[in-house]
Amino acid sequence: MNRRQFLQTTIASCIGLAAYNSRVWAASPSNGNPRFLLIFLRGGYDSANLLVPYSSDLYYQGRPNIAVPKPSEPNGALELNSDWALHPSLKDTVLPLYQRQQAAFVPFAGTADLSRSHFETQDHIELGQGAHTRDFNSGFLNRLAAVLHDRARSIAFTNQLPLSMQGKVRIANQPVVGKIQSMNEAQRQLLEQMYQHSSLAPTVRTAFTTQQQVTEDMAQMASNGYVAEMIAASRGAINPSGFQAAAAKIGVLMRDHYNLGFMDLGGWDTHINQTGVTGAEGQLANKFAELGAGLAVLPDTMGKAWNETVVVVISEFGRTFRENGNRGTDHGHGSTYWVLGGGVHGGKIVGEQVALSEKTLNQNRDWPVLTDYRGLLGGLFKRLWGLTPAELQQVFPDAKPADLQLV
Amino acid sequence: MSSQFRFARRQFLQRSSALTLGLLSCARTGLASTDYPRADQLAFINRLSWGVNAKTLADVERQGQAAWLEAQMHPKGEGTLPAAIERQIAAMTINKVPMSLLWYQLSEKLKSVQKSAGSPEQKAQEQQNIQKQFAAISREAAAQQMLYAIYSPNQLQEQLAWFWMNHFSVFQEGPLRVMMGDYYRRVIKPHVLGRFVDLFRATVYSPQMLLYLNNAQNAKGHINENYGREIMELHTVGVGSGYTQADVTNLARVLTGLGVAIPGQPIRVPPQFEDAFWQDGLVVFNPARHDSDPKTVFGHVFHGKGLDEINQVIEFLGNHPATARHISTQLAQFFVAENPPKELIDRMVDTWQKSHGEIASVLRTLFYHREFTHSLGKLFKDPLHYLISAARLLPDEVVINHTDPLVNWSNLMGEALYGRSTPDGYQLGASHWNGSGQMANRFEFAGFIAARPGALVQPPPKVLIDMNSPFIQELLGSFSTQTRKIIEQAKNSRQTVSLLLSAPEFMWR
Repeated sequence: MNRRQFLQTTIASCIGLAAYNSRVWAASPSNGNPRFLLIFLRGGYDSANLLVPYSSDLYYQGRPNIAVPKPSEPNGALELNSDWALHPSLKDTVLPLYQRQQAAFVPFAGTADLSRSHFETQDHIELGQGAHTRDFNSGFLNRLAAVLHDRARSIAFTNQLPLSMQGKVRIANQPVVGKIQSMNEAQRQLLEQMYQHSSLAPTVRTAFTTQQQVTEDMAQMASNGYVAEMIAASRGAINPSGFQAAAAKIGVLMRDHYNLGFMDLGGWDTHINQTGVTGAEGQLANKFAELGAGLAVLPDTMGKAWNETVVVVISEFGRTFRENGNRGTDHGHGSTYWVLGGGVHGGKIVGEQVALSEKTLNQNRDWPVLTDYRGLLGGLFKRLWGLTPAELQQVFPDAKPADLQLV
Repeated sequence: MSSQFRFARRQFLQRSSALTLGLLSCARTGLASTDYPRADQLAFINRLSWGVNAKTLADVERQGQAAWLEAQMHPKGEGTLPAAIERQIAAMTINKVPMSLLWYQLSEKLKSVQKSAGSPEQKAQEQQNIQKQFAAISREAAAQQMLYAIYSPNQLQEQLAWFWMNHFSVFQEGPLRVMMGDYYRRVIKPHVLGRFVDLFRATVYSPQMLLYLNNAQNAKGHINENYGREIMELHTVGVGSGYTQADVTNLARVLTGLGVAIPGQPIRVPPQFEDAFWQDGLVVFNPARHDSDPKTVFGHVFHGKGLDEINQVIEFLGNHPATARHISTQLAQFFVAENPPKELIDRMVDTWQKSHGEIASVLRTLFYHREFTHSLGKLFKDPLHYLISAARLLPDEVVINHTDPLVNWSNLMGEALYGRSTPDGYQLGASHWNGSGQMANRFEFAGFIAARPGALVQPPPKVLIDMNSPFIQELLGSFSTQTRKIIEQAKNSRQTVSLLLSAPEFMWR
């Protein structure tokens, strides 16, 4: 790979231009009901073992123990084009989406933050502010909700409201991992009466409405046998309290009630023993499998709404291009982002790319960032909701939206 | 059962006699207890403590508000806890093994696992075990602080310990997980009501802060500005006080060389620097890493004199007028209102100047201000105030010996102790905590704790909260008619407890 040039961004963009004008989204908010879900992989996932640069000698030299084998080898990576291949654990989940052109990958994506600190970089991403401001009470998804105003129905599927959703707009959170508690009707009525003269009355009603929606949807799924079917189909490999079950719930909730969602998954900080005998197996492979299985249930659970949905999977940074002494990788810089959805112009690797060599690596250590996440997301928001330049500046101050022709 | 409740407001001890008793102990301050603006007793205690409880109420009734408040502002060391609680705390690893040894032992274990010949799976398993030990020790620190907050008679001291830890927030990651008990009890607590500059100095010389904000990596020629920036922006003068990027860089240069001795790793100091080398516990000043050129911070020139220079900059920033205003505003946000009136802040700043930044004096100005009295009951409880105030409703003889649920719920509600990843600490305003998810969590907690008295106390008591006790009756008497009407509809004692802890009045302090 170090001798070849990747696709030129310009070529990739040209392909997109004419062909997709008539697809689901026009740059007008009046068409359809777009939905956006951000999935944050906390810990800095090893993107070089997800989207494998299999034509790179440097990749195999730098990762003698943890590389994913070439597509031609047993249990090898899944060839996407002449340079890139996908981790084999995604064969039955994300690869079919890619083949149906409903998934794309953006390598060399990330932020300008070079601290390589999890928290600093996560915060930097979630705040998404300009270079000179740092207001801990203004996340970019909250600013997006503010700009969308009454068009936004936002929710975090997490225990706590993430930094990206904190800010002026009040956003609900409802965890979906594990069993969702629902309060019995009698107690709920007593509490509503108790709060009827309180300033918190509307909040308490929202709490119960959200809870009720979620539990009703879940009950419906259960009665359809959907969850049971899903678990049976996985032959016991799927933990009912794991991400796949959570993703099914998210899918239903985004289909029926919400159009701006956030979810996060931890455990990606693989400093040690990230793989088994090769990069095709082990800890990280299992994580990819779980994530892929979750993403793959979305089209089914969401039905037609999947065509109006964009899911973006991000992480705070990539990892070192070379393995460390513990069959793991350390904090790096550029990552690979995933963009999925029924109306996404996928089946391709997008964004500016470079051939990987000691010179093109950032500090001869990790991937450079060639696509800024704010440009990528800003470009998507612009297309999804027809945001004006002024509105985009509110969401991502000082950032230029990148048009990657993904929607 | 509910018919037995009598919600009529009861008079407890005679308040007039309590006021008389307070006179003597107040003499030295020149404040007669009758000078204290009479405030609703429960609301007064709720604001100045982690939540009203039977014992604190009795103390205030006995001493009078002014005398009690004065005693709260001058605690002698840490408060004495019930013997069973003292035993729980004394038995904790963090109070038996020095943190430097814990850090050393656990990091050595990690290293030996990395070097060992085991299979990747074995190694991963062993690593996981060590991480669990780190986690167990960090839970001890959280449990310890919860127990002090619930049981200490020095309630103002305990509230301020949390307030200042939040102001000088340290997030526990890596080795910091074994160091948080020390940060709470040794670094912060002794200074919570003393001079601000002494408190600030204690944090500058704490291994926790030096590690968390990377000053341990800050050296001449390899400047790490992280700590310098947060000192200016968060800890002292505050954002908007007029400092520049150059001030931040120069402050970072002043702080070069102040770092942490990693247990088991020798520090090499060239002979010409040996005399100026300094170490106290885990904190070291390594002159070989110090930038000794003069630098200007916020208009003040500091000449390269190593530790002296660091001490000078602490005095300079800790006593700066902008710091007085910044800190006074935060105290008023914690004790009065999210947007406190300027006139109150002006008075506090005035007291700050006269008292050389003595926190107790600045707080006295605040507590005696009419805005304080007017604001009672109007602050929304953050999750910790909610949880701890619930635990404080248990009768004195029911001793909490399982703190895990409290620690877990504080995590779930988004205000874990030592769990704020950003250095700004948790936000104090209601809008951060009164969302729908939070309310759902509180109702769920109320139901959980009411249904399982054994979760906090073993062996499980018959009832967790004695609804018939005079204290709980008094508390219910302060709730609205509507709330009391609903509580009376409870079908059993557990539902009564759950409704009590879910009541709107219980969400405010």
